[in-house]
Amino acid sequence: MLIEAKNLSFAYNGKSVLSGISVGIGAGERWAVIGMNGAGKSTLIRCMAGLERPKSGRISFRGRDITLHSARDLAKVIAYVPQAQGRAAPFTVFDYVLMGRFPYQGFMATPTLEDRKIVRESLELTDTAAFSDRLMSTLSGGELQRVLIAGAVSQRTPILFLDEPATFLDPLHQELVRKALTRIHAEFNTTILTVTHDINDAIAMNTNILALVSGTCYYAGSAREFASRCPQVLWDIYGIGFVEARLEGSGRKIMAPQ
Amino acid sequence: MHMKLSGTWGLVLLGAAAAVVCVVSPFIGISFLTPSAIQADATQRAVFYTLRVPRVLTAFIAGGGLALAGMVFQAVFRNPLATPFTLGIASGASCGAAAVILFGLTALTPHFPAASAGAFAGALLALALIFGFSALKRDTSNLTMLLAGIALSFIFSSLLMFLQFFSDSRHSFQIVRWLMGGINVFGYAHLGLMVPIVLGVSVLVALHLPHLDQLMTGEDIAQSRGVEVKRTKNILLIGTSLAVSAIVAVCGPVGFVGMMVPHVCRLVFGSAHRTLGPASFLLGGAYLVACDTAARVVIAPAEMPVGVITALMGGPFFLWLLFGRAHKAGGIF
Repeated sequence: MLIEAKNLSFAYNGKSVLSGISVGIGAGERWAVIGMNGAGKSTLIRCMAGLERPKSGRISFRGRDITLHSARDLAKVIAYVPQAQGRAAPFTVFDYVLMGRFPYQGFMATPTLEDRKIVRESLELTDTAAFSDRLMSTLSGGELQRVLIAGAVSQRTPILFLDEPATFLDPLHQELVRKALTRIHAEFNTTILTVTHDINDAIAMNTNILALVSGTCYYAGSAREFASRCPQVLWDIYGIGFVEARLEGSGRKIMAPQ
Repeated sequence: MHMKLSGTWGLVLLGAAAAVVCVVSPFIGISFLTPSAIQADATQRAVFYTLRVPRVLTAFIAGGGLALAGMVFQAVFRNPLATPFTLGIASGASCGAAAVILFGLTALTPHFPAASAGAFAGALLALALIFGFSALKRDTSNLTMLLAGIALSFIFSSLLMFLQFFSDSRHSFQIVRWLMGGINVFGYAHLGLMVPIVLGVSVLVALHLPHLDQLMTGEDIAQSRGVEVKRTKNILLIGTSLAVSAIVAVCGPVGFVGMMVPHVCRLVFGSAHRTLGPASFLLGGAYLVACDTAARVVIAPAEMPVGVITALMGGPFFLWLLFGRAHKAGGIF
């Protein structure tokens, strides 16, 4: 196991958000985390990224409790892209992505040539090199999202967590995010965990699926197995009925709410 | 690369300008001095070395410290409206100074006025209250701290009005005069309090300049990139608040420098703190020295309170810069 949650529970102001979550994630796997709003998806990946401290249970990276890592050491193994924020930092795209090198830099965070090379690679992988000189505040939502991913990629971590990276994007920019993640995975065999509301994407793009229902683990396993149990399981997860349809040509199975 | 080069040259230019201001300033005042006159005349020498030079040093360190503190507050709270006084430090200091003036406490030493000691105590009380509460409630979120600081400011302001209401006109005038701020120092004794604290805190801030860049991107991203967010915020806020306490104790609550100088530097140098930090310190210091020089001459032989001049001179310039350059730079925050 590369990263593992054991019997994880979390409460916010005395109200239970997660209870008894156990999941083991192997190197190079791609996981989708699905569930209703408020089911605890974001809290789970925030706990696993070390941003929230669980009430009980533990998270370990290569068998070692992540709370034993310093923030700097953790930043070398887990990168995190938060949900879309309202405001962008007042930096150029290049400088923002360069700031992802922080955990490797010493006093004054003086960038090396190697840092700059890694930034250029990260920009290429996310298809953002064309606007590397622009200020973050001038980007569209779709461009900004890929720049945030580039910043995380420049941390060169074996694990990447993304919280709804494509939820607010148009179909083209959703596709660009998908392509960027596919390239990143192909290049570094990165273990990627994505919170998403797109069922078809979750099944098509990932090796595994973790479904949360009211803060408990409803399903954690292979995406193929999950797909074979659709659409029935979707009723349990979302509380509405789904129907399945086959796409003409490819014959790919897709789910649509009834 | 180009950006960095212009930043370095900009800092060199700014440093040179600050040096010129600091060297020229002590010769200017109610009486204009010349190097030869200082050599020849014992009275002029005394004016130069026990009044003018310590005054320039005080103004430079105070202005630099206030600007640096403002920059830290704005970055940590991600709020362009934050000032070094936002957490209630200056209000606490004002209250302490007013209490000392009203109760007629006399100086501990002739060189360190009682009002300064009262102000320092009031500032430390405000600092202890705000960080005590946030530690007790385990809530260090930006909005909670900003709101608590503003509430604390209001409480201290009311206390101040209460004290003024019960004071006679002589004390009341002294209090108002203190509130306007001024760098009326004599000799070097007060620098013993202010210089080590402000310079120590400036070094602390210098070590955390890249962390401030990270905090500007949001606390989650900063933490996930390796910044210990809570610890860094506490170190920086408590450190700069301590520096502000020492400055306000000596100079009174001089406004504008702490809020506007960092913004002016952002407009000119951009938002990267590696340049912004030294730029804010240099410009803040030089600006307060220049304002204090003006304070000495505009209504000579009387002296204008420096707090009146800082915003009057800098405000229009800032507006011009804001409307002229801010949108070209894609906003400053």
